[in-house]
Amino acid sequence: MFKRGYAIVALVVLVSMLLGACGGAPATPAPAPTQPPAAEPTVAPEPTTAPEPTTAPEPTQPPATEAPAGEAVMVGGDATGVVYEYNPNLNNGEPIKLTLWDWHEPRIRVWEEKVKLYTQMYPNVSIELVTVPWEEYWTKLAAALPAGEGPDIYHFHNSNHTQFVGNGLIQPFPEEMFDPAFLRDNWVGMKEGHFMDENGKIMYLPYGSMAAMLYFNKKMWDEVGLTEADYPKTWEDMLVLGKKLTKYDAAGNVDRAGFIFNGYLELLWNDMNFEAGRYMYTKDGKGCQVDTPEGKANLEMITKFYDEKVSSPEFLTFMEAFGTQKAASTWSWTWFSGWLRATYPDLEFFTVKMPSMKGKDLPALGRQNYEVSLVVKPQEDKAKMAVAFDFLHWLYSNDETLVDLAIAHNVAPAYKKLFTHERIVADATIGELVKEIEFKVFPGEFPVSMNNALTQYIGQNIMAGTSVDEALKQTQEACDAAMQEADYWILERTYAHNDAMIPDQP
Amino acid sequence: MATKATRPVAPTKIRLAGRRFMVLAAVIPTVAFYLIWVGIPMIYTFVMSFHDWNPLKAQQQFLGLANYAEALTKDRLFMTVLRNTLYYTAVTIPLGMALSLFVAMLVNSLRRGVGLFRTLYFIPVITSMVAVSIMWAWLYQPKFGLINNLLRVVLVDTLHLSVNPNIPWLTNKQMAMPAIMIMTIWQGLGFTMVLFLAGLTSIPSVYYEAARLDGAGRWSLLRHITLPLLQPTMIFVLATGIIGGMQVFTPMYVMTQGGPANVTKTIVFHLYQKAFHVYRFGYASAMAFILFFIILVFIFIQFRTQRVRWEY
Repeated sequence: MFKRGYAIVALVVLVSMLLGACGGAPATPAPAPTQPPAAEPTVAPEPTTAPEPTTAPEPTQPPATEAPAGEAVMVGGDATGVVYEYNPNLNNGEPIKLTLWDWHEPRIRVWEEKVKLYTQMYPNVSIELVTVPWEEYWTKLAAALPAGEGPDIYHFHNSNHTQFVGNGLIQPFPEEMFDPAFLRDNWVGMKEGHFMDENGKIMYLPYGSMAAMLYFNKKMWDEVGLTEADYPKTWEDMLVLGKKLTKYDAAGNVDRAGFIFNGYLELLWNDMNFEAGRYMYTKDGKGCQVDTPEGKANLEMITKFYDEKVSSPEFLTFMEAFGTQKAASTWSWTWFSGWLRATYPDLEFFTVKMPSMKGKDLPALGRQNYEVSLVVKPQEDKAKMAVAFDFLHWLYSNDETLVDLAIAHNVAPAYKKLFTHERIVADATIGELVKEIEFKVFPGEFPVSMNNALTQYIGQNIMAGTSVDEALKQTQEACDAAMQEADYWILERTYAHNDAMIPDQP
Repeated sequence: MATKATRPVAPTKIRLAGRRFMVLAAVIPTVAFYLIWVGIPMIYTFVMSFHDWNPLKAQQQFLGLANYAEALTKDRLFMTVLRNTLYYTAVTIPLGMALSLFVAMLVNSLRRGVGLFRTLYFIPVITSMVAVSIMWAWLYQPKFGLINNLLRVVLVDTLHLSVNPNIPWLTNKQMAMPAIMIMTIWQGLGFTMVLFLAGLTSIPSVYYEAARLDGAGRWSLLRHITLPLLQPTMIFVLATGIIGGMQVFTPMYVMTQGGPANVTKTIVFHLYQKAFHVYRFGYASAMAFILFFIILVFIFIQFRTQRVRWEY
């Protein structure tokens, strides 16, 4: 009897071990669209950072017809400087399978459509789309790619430029499909080398530039009788405007914030520093410019909003406060528009250009960052790389696809010709962004460690009531330590209006 | 003619061999599983802690003890997070144990409903820590959170005190860590309570009866019977508590991101950031092993000091 018992127990243990070893993640992980905002590469789904805009993009061009297999569709585009031509002998007609990884669920919907069209055009090609949540995306790539595994095509984010480009994990875009001279003349940032490796080879393409704007609740704006003439030109104007929009409770505390930036305080401050003409990094990229006269003045300006009770550190973060109509206005990067439409579809809001130091565009209007493209993994299978780049060429040579992507990401398109595209102009936010983008500084890599330092020592310190001087001192130390920890790709001084910035900065 | 009665020869060797096989069949998969998924990775990580290990690079440079030296002598934040972690552990473990023992004794004294209370207290334990952390982050929200609103109802609306009930639980440097401690003690209470409850029910009641006959009061019963006889449970609870406390990560990650100004950042959070934000896996591994040795020392000290076994 005992022997049988032992046998049964042993069998159960053995089978459970085997099942445990064999079980694993499904081949296509379930989508989980928790991703930080496109411009802010924080890894976590975090209460203090912004999650993923969840609006599904709606390409308004009529979907290219479901062509019969083998017929050309969406060809002839020349946005990359080389016309895309249908190649009936792609891969010699041999079957080939590619995998594509992305984390951004709304964008995956775009890929599903495009992949369907492409594979109808080339029936011998199949592309498997895999959604990997942002939180796991870079860890999985870091594990897979150096081992020669992982996807053939994957979506990139420029916050990882140094690590991925520096370690040879991205195949340069072939010049026979992506003409460098044309791109330099016709795409934002190309001339300045914003998407290249140290040898000038193009590693990825930008969909467009994202930056910050002011967001206003339309109902609250109208309630107090404001008009376009009240759009704030300076931060002092914003303080006055914020007071008009604030409501107080019986005890005199803020009940509805006139202007809220909790959770984004440090990035607002960062933008204001650029507006004041001060770059973020030192020229050698090994330090930061934090504890400066401009930094101090800007932080004092921000705390004025708390001191004069236009805002409150006790309030919700800007997303919840603005979305639930506990705040009349906020400052955010333009991914926020998509997030609001998806999360609070009934909320009526509009965007306005953010104020500047003296009401002028120069020296700068803050910072910008790019949403960037799919990239191809270097591998020995040249056929896979060739087909992967053919797919990318087909995608990115098409104007309408580029407009779709710009609208999906709420960015100003990088292909300058599209600045006057009717769909771009019709979008109030993007239309305004297009006009400002040349005055926005692209600093290069914005390392997560640097972002963490700003969040901890500027944002959280100020909300905890730490003095401005102490906050700046701690931030300076932390940011310098972050920048010295590794080599980063710093491009601040390529700003088009560098001569308008403070001269002789370190 | 009578024949010798034959009886079947007991197959002793086969029986023993069969039993050994059963034991091996049960043990080998577990050992293999442990070796493959825990042992070998640990050894590999230890070796790589002496390298400038970046998984994206083809070559990993040997650094010797440089990572350990950096953590212990150059990285000021490492000392800060070590202090934070020790602070967290030193407060949550004894408080949590005392509270759960108290609750266990209360539940144990019930005539009916023991199972119900055990279940109710255990529910937070089985709830995802991420979900619990998100919920408590909302409870702690200074203006709209439930806790401060309750305080407002009691202190301002009822007692008419002129105080500001909008306590900045998670944004104040002095309060952020205690706020997280309250949450984690609440969440872990049920687990420890159940263990203590099992320990309490195993103490024979005859000891209490005898002690009462001798005139022992409640405090004496607790000091001389309950606590000593709960020692095995306490050893286990303390050991697992230290291990868990020193490795805490999730509440800080979800609720405060280690802030404000890194006052709630713990060792595991710090090494996570070094690994996954800066790709310094070698340095993160060194920190992990420093943590491992610290925990090992604590457990060793604890086992040595709690060697005395009480028996009646």
